Amino acid sequence: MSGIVHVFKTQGNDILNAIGQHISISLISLLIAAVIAIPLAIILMNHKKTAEFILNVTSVLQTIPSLALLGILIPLVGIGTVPSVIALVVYAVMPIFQNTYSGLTTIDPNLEEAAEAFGLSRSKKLLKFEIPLAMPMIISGLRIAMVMIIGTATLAALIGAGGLGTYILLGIETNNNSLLIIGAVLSAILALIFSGIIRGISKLSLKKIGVIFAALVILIGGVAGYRVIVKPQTTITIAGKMGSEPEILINMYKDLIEQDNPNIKVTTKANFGGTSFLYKALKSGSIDIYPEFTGTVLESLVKTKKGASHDPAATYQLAKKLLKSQENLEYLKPMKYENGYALVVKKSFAKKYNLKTVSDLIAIEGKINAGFDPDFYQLSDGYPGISKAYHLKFGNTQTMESSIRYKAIANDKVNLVDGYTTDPQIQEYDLVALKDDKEFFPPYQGAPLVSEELLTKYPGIRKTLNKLAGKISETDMQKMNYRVSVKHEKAAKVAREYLVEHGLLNR
Amino acid sequence: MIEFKNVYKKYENNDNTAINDLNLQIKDGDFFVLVGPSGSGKTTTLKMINRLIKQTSGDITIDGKNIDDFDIQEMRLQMGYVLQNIALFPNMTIEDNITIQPESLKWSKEKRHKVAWDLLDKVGLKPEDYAKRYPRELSGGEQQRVGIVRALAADPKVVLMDEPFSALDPISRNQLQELVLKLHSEMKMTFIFVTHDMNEAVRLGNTIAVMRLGHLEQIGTRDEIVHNPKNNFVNGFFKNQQNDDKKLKLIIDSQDCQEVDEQDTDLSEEDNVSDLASLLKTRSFALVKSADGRVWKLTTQSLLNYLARDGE
Repeated sequence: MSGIVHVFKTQGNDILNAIGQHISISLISLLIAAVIAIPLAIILMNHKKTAEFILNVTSVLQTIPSLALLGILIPLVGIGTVPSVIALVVYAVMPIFQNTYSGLTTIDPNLEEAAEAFGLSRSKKLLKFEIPLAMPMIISGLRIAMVMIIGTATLAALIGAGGLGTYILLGIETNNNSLLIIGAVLSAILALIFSGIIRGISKLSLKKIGVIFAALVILIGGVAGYRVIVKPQTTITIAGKMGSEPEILINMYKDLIEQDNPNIKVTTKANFGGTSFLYKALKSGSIDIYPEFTGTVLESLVKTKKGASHDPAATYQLAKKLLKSQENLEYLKPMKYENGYALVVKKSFAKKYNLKTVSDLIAIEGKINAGFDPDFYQLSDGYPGISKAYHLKFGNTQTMESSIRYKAIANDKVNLVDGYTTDPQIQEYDLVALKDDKEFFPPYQGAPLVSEELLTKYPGIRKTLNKLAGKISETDMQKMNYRVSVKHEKAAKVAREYLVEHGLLNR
Repeated sequence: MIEFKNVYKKYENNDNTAINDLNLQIKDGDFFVLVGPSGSGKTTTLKMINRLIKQTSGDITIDGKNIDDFDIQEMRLQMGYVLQNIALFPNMTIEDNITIQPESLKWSKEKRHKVAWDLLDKVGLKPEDYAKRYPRELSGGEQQRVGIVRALAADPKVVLMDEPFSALDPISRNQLQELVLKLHSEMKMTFIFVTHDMNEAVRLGNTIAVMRLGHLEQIGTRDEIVHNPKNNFVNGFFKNQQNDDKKLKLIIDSQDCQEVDEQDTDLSEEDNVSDLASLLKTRSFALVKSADGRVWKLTTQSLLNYLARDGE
């Protein structure tokens, strides 16, 4: 609970922003879906076969997993609000269409006969009784759609559209329950509020509903138009994956680029979704730069027959070569730190037994009581592999959820865990990552992945970003991660302080 | 004048011809009743006049002009229509229901308001009480009064009524029969009325057309039909209903009741014993008007005595 209060205190403005983004994405989507679905249902109310066909189509659309839909949309329409809105509209059309259609087609046939016999025109019939009588159904369709949209809109965070999903995804990523709860609870509250508002609207007359609808369309259209007009001319978009570390890095890129090119405006999109989304976004030109790990490139981005090398320099060179030849992307020079697997012990424990490297563990292997993530325990890159490479056999090993490993070692339930070398918990719980002296773990060095197009246009950026080459040690990164994800300092501030301190930024 | 010339109607999914060579004329200002058992084609005939149903062949003309040559909406706006199911629009007030055709005809607001209030007054529903209410707040009989008013509001030349009283209780039916007779005599419109009840037909119609299985069996004035039934069917249809429907007149004639000094009556002596019986389910007596204007109090005992005599 105190965690939640702390997040609210330190990030209140960001949360408000996220709520604003969430509401605007949801409302735009709902309006567009309504503008499509309601008139369509009205047009098709007397064409049963076509209506059923459309209903089937919208039901099929409904079954596309949202992640897949976003994945399809990125190469077509890029990232940010547009693909999110398209995806949400695709999902929202069906409940609105279905409810409007059944509302209109279940009207008492006697009323239809009466209206017909009175010589009412099609529009008179609609306005006088068909739409008013179908209104409860239409409204319930809108409510279903709204609740669904607000829930699904949390996924917009995955493609850089922001919203409350940012907190949910960040919470999942960093095992931070406060963030998760904030994101989830706020979106649930939003859903309730909007559902209530729609119910309130349903009690108004058709005329008033029309006025509200028109006002919303004009308002949203105006805001969108304003944004298009005032959009700055040259912008470079830098995105980063979930978590504090990419956010710190992209802020460093931004500061460095803006220092060397005062007329370029850099926008950052932090906490963008998974690797494949970023990679697609980069290839489609929606973003220009994002930091990527050498190990990840070889593992999942390029096609290679070779197994991962354990030499960092060789891994980087191979990744760079393959990215250039296969995708025409530039992979600039990596930073110093590696964010790979590591075996982590308490500092006091390391001191007591004089542990610096993994090899040092051999002498006390019987005393080790290890807690491992289930994946690490099974993967050949994890415990089985390292056990073979170093001829290690720990006295006792147990598996536990990754989220509680660090708590377990902090409370002396275990005395060794697996982790990532730059995890902020290493700093938080006074731990130390043992050096992988036999270079068993595949190397994960961070380096800027840049589109060829950007470097052709601004060749200076290569030099600018290479200023970070070989900079930032694992300890530096741990400390910065700790400040951002545990102490909730602003990533931009932490990044800038590092750059200034190391003479990379004049200020 | 509305004229049917060699009109046939055949439904696609039915081998039988619904209307078979129908020829008839309906004079302006007539109270024209189409009567017949179910399946006789009387409702089909009615609905062909406003083109809710399209005839398969033959011509229907209004004042010599083929109905197919009219603009369908314009033509329908000039016709009133009363449905068996009443079908008032539940989302609209009584006044809005009544003025739905005048509104489509673009009458001014004041004129619409005046018509609605005048007509409500005419059918015995106080406009100040009823105009702003919704249909669900009204009883069935009241709703059908509004249904009739709605059909008259645009001052149509022709009013079509499709078994408008068959779903009502006997008291309401009786009152509404009187009401339409009154309205017809006052408003000089052509009323075309469909019913399966021969008594209703005889009570209301100036001209009666008896139909059976899509054929016109006989057409004529009330007297012609009653006194000179053209064939056994017409005679039998009429007789059967008369025999089935035993008149309250029989109870009054037996003097097994008291005369009272009341004006508000529930039934007339032309109504059936069954009407009295259903009324006495919830009450202990009913007031019945005889043809000479006297009012009689009929109790449950009168009914039982009558039935006992009838069984002897």
